[in-house]
Amino acid sequence: MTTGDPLRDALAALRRGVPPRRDLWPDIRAQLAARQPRHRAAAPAQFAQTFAEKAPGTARRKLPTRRALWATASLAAAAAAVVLVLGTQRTPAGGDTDTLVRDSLADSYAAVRADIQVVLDNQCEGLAASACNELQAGLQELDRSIAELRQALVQAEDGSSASQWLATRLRRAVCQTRGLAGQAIRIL
Amino acid sequence: MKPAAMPSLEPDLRETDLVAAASRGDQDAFEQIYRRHVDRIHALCLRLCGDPDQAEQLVQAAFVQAWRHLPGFRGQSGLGTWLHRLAVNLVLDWQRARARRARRELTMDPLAELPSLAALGAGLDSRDGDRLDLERAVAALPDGARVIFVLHEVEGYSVREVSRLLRVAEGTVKTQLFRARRRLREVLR
Repeated sequence: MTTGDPLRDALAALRRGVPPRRDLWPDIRAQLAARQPRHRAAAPAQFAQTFAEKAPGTARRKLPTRRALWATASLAAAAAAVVLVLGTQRTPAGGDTDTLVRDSLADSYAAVRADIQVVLDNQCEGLAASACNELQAGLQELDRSIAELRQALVQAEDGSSASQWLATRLRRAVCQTRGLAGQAIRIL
Repeated sequence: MKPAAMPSLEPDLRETDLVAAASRGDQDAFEQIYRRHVDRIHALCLRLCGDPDQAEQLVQAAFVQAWRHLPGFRGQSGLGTWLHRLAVNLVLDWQRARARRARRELTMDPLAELPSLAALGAGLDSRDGDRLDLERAVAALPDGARVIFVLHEVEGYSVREVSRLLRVAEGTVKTQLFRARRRLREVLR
């Protein structure tokens, strides 16, 4: 039965689901190991314990506004710095690259990222909602930048100058994030 | 192009059981969740971004993010609804980031960002000419109009919800919808 409106008819005929061209599960599964569900991650647990030791009685206490803002500023700076470093880079084309280096750096980033997330999860109560949202958005931007760089590494030819340059960029980005995240955590 | 063969699902397992198992780190349970929802999430990403390659990357990102946040899923909405919203937010974030990047990269070739109709056709397995025409026509809409059209007309979000999701005025949503419908009717005529 048609409505007489070709657009409405075509919309009614659209399928709700469209299968991907290939099975995406193997790629997803490969990424899950580096991103365990949040409450099970080892690194966040260590940092939660650190917080508990620093703040006897409760690990979820509210911080004074000034200290919380320092934390926000430092973490935002971490996100912004890496986004600035990576944001303007174009993705070169190419073939395979050094999987070991790529995965190792990805694991390092995942660990640092998880640490930052724990800090945020624990301290967002003490921050203004807008600051917390902004920080979360910054971290998501950071994730995307790292993911784009990883993708570029996957496409770069093994041993090529592009591959080495991208690996250096990624390593520097991870180190920078780790340093700034550590600084923020010390302030807290 | 036909999609790759998928392992069969286990219909007897309830979704709440799968969620509970996946939240404990059971990747097999999460694979069942993935298989049940991937077609719907892929259709959403493909229509919102208009690029099959990018859509597949977004689907992967959505499920990886879902895996990570699954322990926080309280079941207040259906899992499908939760995944759907997560994917919508992911695609919108990606589009905002792309727009920011495009503004920074002044030397970028503007045509490079346009979706390829041929590529979109390759991402669909359709035997229905009108339906494929609509898919291609939607993919060829400008980014803003396409997202608004898909969210409202295909995914069923209200004008107000679209306006909130995209952080634009309701009037802008209505105007873009009007233009999108007019262009699509011209294509389908």
